[in-house]
Amino acid sequence: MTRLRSLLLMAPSLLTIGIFMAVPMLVALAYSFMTSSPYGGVQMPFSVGAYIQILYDEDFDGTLAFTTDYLMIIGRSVVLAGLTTAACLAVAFPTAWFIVCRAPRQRQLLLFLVSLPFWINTLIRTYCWVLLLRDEGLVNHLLEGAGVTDEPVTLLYNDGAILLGLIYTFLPFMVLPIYSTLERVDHRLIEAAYDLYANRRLVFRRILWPLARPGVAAGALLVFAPALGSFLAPDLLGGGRKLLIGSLIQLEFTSGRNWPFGSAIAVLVSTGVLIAMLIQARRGRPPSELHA
Amino acid sequence: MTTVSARPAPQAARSYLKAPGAAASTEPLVAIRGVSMSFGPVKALIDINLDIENHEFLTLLGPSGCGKTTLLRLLGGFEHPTAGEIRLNGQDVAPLPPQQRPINTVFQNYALFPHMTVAGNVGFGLEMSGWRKPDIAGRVEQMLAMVRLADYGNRRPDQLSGGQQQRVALARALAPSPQLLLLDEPLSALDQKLRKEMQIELKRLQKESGISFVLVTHDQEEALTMSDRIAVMSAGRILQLGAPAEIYDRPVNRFVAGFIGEANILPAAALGRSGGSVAVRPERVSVVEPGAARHRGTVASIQYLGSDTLLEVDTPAGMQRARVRGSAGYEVGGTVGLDWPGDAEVELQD
Amino acid sequence: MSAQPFNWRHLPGGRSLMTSLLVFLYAPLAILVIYSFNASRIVTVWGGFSTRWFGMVWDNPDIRRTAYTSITVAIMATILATAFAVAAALALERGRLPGLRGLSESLIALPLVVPEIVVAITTLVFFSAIGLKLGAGNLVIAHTVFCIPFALLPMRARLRDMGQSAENAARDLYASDWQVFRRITLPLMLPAIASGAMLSFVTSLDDFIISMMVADAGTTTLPVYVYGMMRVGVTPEVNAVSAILLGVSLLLVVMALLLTGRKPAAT
Repeated sequence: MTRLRSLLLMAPSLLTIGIFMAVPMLVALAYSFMTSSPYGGVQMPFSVGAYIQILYDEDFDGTLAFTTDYLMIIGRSVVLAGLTTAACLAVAFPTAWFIVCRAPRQRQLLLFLVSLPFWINTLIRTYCWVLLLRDEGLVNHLLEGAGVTDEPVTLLYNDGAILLGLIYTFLPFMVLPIYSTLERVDHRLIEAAYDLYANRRLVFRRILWPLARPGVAAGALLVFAPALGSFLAPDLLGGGRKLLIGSLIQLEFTSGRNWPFGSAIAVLVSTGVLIAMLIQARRGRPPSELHA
Repeated sequence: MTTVSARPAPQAARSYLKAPGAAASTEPLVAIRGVSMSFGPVKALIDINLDIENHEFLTLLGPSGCGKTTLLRLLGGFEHPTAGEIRLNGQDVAPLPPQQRPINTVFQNYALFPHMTVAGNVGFGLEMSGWRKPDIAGRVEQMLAMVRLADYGNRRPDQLSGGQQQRVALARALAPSPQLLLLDEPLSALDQKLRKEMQIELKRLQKESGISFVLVTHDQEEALTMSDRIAVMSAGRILQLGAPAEIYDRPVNRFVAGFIGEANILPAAALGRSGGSVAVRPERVSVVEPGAARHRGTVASIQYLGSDTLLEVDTPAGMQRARVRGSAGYEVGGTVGLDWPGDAEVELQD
Repeated sequence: MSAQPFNWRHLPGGRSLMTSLLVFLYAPLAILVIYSFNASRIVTVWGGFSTRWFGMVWDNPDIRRTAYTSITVAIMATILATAFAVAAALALERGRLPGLRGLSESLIALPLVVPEIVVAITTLVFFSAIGLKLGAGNLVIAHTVFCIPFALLPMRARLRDMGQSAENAARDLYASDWQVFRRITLPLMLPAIASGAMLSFVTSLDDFIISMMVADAGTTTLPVYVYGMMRVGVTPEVNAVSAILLGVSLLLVVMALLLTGRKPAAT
């Protein structure tokens, strides 16, 4: 295929994603350096006010006071996304290895079952947990029925519920990339390690883990990035009481009407994700290749 | 007997090339002149010069990585040489893509189109070169009869055995009456017995069709049984070109002597000759009483090969092997004499 | 004491881990479906089997209107994304993109890794900045962007798996580039194209956050409308409409994965 023809074939996808995704991200970057207009939207002049606002509160007299409000939101989001990633990894690695060790037919079935929820509406999957965890929900019914409690236990609207929702949403993202790297591990390597007197723990540490690292890195990125900006789990399971980055951004662009500030937060999140992506791309193959 | 009739070359390919015979009569079918091929820093082929004659069965033989497959791909048009000319009937085809060459290939794993029937596969090349539908049907029938798959036209490739798929690939490549047929390790996927059958079949098809075949293989036995000529390749060069018997009996250097059959390599001085080294085939060596023998040594090992026995004998000129009939009682450590006729000695270039 | 026979494939507790994981993944979905057939208006008290809530959903004009929007947008986005993805798959797996390969791979991975909320607000900002007001057209564009990578997944995998030998053989038999595509490549990648189309359809239909930000009052999609219902409270109608969405997604994805007959290409 000639270079021109390849380029022409690539063009529609590149232009669509470039114009309607890459350029908008640059526009948001520009907006983050502007000031908000009272009617929503932005106005000149350029300023770094939006970024200062993350750290400082402007009093009525114009003095800046250090505030940890937004740092707390960012910190809580990072911690929740990190915990989600760690929990997913802890479950996904043994699961992926278990699947790899099955007979081929069973392997296909299990993989299919693990990845299927990925394609189901996140809104509905999150709503399922509302059904289960709310005061009149199934879990409380069972607890009361078993005589554990008389009063409904408040299970919703806390960080634990958010964490559960995030794990539920993003777990398949972790299993699949790890599976695809573990699947490629030559089984003779494992047998050779055992042959050379390694035990189960050492085989994991010296053989499986190093070989699965690209998959773990890809999975971690695919879980951490969307978890960091997640909106639905905090909103429906956290009740939107304590803000997280996702709901903060959404709020600034709707009722908050502070586009530059919302953009600034979005820029921070995207920068973090892009840096993670670059580190991962440097280490191995681009994430898109792991999707196959 | 069904034969491949001398149909004109397919139109798509013909239009780019002069008719055979338009060139000077001394010109071979294919003339490869000074062809080199590099993949980045790796030199796959170095200054190859080779003629392919009409109606011949030529084999490119060598270990993996010797450049034989690259040479085949250059002939087919799947790669283009970094330097040099490939002339077909006097015209340089080196820059032409595969679809513009009247040269067809039987691919290593057959590359049958999985979504087409056997007949669809065999007729594909004809369709692409503009044959009319009724003509295609007739030709496909003829080709399938030739490879003894007359009733298989409506099957899908995955319903055929390995040997049958091989025949379909052959019929497909021969259907457009190419001027040259390339075969890339065509028998490597078949089991031993089937391979023997297909060797005979291939030779028959080549004779009947009168088309020149170029076969790539790393199997010396396959090369010896089927070829009119063999080109032994190593490290991107052709080391020796000749008839099978010539290559076997008169290897030019250590590599050829060792790659085709086995050989004892002795320093020429030990035999009272001038030059570098000399090769002697183990089966030409006879084991005799030590007293009268030209060479004497101790038996180092004995290997029973069924009908023959292979002795390794430690002589002052080095370790030598002798392949003798039967399993007469030699002992490791015993002293034996070795002898061979003078014409068994082949002087090597290196 | 007899030692266990050596088998490194045996993971202690693996079977129970797998079972618990599958229960964790599927029990909530199953419970939603069961509740959606609950006759009682009090969602969690079983009042017998009934399909009346599905009837109510069907009769709700808002749900019908928003479902119509969702399906229209999904069809349009699927057609565009699938066509673009076929071309891109050929370019990436068969073409030459000197100097552009890295950029192409990164751009195409972008919708997969950037958090949805960021995609949503940047798209919103961009559309308002250039003053693009195409109604549902805005949604189609936004959906096409994030559908392309999903449509691409099975197609690239197929092109890579099938190798180039059949295409080379066709070229050897005098087929032109167009004939190779029309007669060999396209028929062989057809199941993957169908599968890619279904995956983009599901992805578009399932999208919530981007639609919520980009859609205006007239072009609300079904998930956005359902979200509004959820905010009001847990009702049997919400369960029923959620169960329907769940069923449609499952059906399409199972079909898509059966078509390619290979391991699911999720994430």
